[in-house]
Amino acid sequence: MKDELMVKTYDIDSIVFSDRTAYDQGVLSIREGELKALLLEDEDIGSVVLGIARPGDSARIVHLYDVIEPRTKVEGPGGVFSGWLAPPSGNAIGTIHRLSRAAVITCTELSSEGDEYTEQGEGVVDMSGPIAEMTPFSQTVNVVVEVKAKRKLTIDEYTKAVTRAGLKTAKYLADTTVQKIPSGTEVLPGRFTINPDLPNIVLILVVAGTSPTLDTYVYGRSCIGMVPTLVHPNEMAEGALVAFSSMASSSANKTYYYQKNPLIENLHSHHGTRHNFVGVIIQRGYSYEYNDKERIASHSANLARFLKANGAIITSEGGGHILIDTMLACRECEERGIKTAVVMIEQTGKDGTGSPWTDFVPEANLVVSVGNVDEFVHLRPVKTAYGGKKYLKTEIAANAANDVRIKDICCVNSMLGAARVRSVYEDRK
Amino acid sequence: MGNRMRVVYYMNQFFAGIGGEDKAYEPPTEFEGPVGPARLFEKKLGGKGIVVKTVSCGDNYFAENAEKVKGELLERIRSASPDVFVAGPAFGSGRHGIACATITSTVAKELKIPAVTAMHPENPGIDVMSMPAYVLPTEIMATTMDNVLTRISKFVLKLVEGQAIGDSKVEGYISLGRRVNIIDPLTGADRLFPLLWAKLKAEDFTTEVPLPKYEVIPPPPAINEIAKATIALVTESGVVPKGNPDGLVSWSEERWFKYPISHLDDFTSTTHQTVHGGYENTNVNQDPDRAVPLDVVRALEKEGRIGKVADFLLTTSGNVCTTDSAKRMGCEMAEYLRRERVDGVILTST
Repeated sequence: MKDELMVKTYDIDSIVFSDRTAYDQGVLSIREGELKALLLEDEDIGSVVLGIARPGDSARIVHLYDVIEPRTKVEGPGGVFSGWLAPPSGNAIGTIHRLSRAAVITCTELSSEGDEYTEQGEGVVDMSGPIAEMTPFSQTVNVVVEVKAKRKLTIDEYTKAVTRAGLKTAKYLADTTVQKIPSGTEVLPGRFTINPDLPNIVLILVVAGTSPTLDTYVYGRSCIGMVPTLVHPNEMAEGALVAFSSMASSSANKTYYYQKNPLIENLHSHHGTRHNFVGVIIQRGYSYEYNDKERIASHSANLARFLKANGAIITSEGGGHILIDTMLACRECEERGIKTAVVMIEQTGKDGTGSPWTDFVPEANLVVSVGNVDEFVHLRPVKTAYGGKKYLKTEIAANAANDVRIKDICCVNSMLGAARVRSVYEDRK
Repeated sequence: MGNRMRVVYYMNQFFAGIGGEDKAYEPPTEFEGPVGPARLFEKKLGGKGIVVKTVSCGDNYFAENAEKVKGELLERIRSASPDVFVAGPAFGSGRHGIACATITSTVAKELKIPAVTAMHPENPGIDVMSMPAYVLPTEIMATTMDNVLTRISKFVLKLVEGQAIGDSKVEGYISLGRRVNIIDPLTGADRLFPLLWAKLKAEDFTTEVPLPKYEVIPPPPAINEIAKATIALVTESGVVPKGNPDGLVSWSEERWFKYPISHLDDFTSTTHQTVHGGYENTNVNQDPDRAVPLDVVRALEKEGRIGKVADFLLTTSGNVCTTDSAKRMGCEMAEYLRRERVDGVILTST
């Protein structure tokens, strides 16, 4: 089998509930009972509520846990989401199918055993209106999977159960395209041809690794304790990275953006013409000791140097001390002569007059802004709410109006550069 | 408005003639008409306005009771029906600056009238200024009072006349450098590449987030005789008495609280809890000493290795706290600790 991954795309024009699950020329039908039964096979899951939220609907999704693009593997070793739905031995050659303009969105209200309520941040998507302008998932047809646990679970068990439900649904939906004709096909090479006249660029993803509510799974294993490592973008397309982020919805990464990464798409499209794309480094953020942060950041930069990188794009997610991990990676790369571009949120306070970051390095002279997470936004009333009945930890109905910090809106401050929100100086009038 | 505009003016205890450092604990008070610099300020208005009331507060009282003082002063100010509010100038004085910035910003927001203060650009009060209040720059020393009052009076008249205020350098105010969110036509991922290619080719590029400037704070000298020292426990881990009596919030907190601990040898799950939203709380709720080591410092105190544990815990929730809030809280806590004659602090963070 050739060292490449073929990706077949199936456009989604609409999704409906019907008497059978099938894909037919852009229309995806779902037999609700069948999908529910599949998810309820999981002994940790007690109930499942399905919904379909379409672009333009007067609708809102709340209690958002993860977003996943429906994908399945039809040819080649293993399968999608290695370590979850397939053996953890990812080998990203062969053929995968993906549904475009569609997403699985899992929703849940987390709690853990012992009656200790675990801090969960709200996650919101609006399908129409001003907030829809900001969140990328107003543009996808979303199959909403609201999950409740069957009994008291530890927070570790609960987040894994919701994750499994999302990934299973994603594969189940993509499986409808087996033997169908795609709308497009792309071949992603396994080995990159390097043009010596062009600069080499590496992508360093600093990812969360601290607790079940803020973690990243690599081939089905938490990245807590992981040293920086290399992955091939094709492995990511197959679902090697799965997000576990129940906090900081606007700036945490979702599984969707590991599968369909906007920076990787750009790195691919200009490979061989403006630069050489030489690889992806995964760096675990949120380590607890400063020694570890330095160790990990310099290891990351050493890997970049080993790949002969001239430039490094450094991303982050969440907020708080992972931003220190990110800035250190920037410093270590620059010290090794690797020029960096960092993608970063700002935390300038609700007035926008504060300092953007708690920590930074003087070498971070090229930062792409993805907006101030402290600004407030207004959510207007909508007809239907999916995923939950009330805004988290409030008595306000989920379809009612509310003023929230922008950090509750899914992916609008994505440090993978997926969204269009940014901050600029406003001159006083 | 035809008639003369009504001005209410704030200044600290020193400028109001109440007293010096010895009177820094005076609670809020007021005077009819102009007092101290407000007299000269009124003259500079050239008959276009009168100072109907002067309000004042001791700098330390303000620092330690900011929420209460804000509310009280606001009512005193509101009851005079002002058209305009002025505070300071605070020059280089940090506590006066923070007080002026706080009350000026509050008045601008709540009473929706032009509100102006003035201080040195590096006064920590600048960090607590917020829209739509204005702050004009001054020197550090108060020797330029006359010039400053002239500038404030001209600026205030412009505001009141509804004139558009332009660029900060032209108009002579300190730009707060406000950042606002916009929706760009391009995603961050798309905007990144031309910038990086330019940097790789050593061509000019403009970063989207200019680097902030942080002051370097030199650490104080080590404690000489630790066996005689008073050590205080301060934390951002969100540890509070069980039941969270003051409602400390789990993120974006702007307040700190002090709680007595002299009756305790350690924190337990029955006496205390945490509310911090940035880490999994179970372990700290089981034993809050894990976040704030009261048990350990008590043991050191009993052994005579330190002199004394301070009588109080200073606590806040540092989760997603802005740099400016944290800096202001740190200044306020430091003032308090210094007055309580604390020699050293164990500051725990998460």
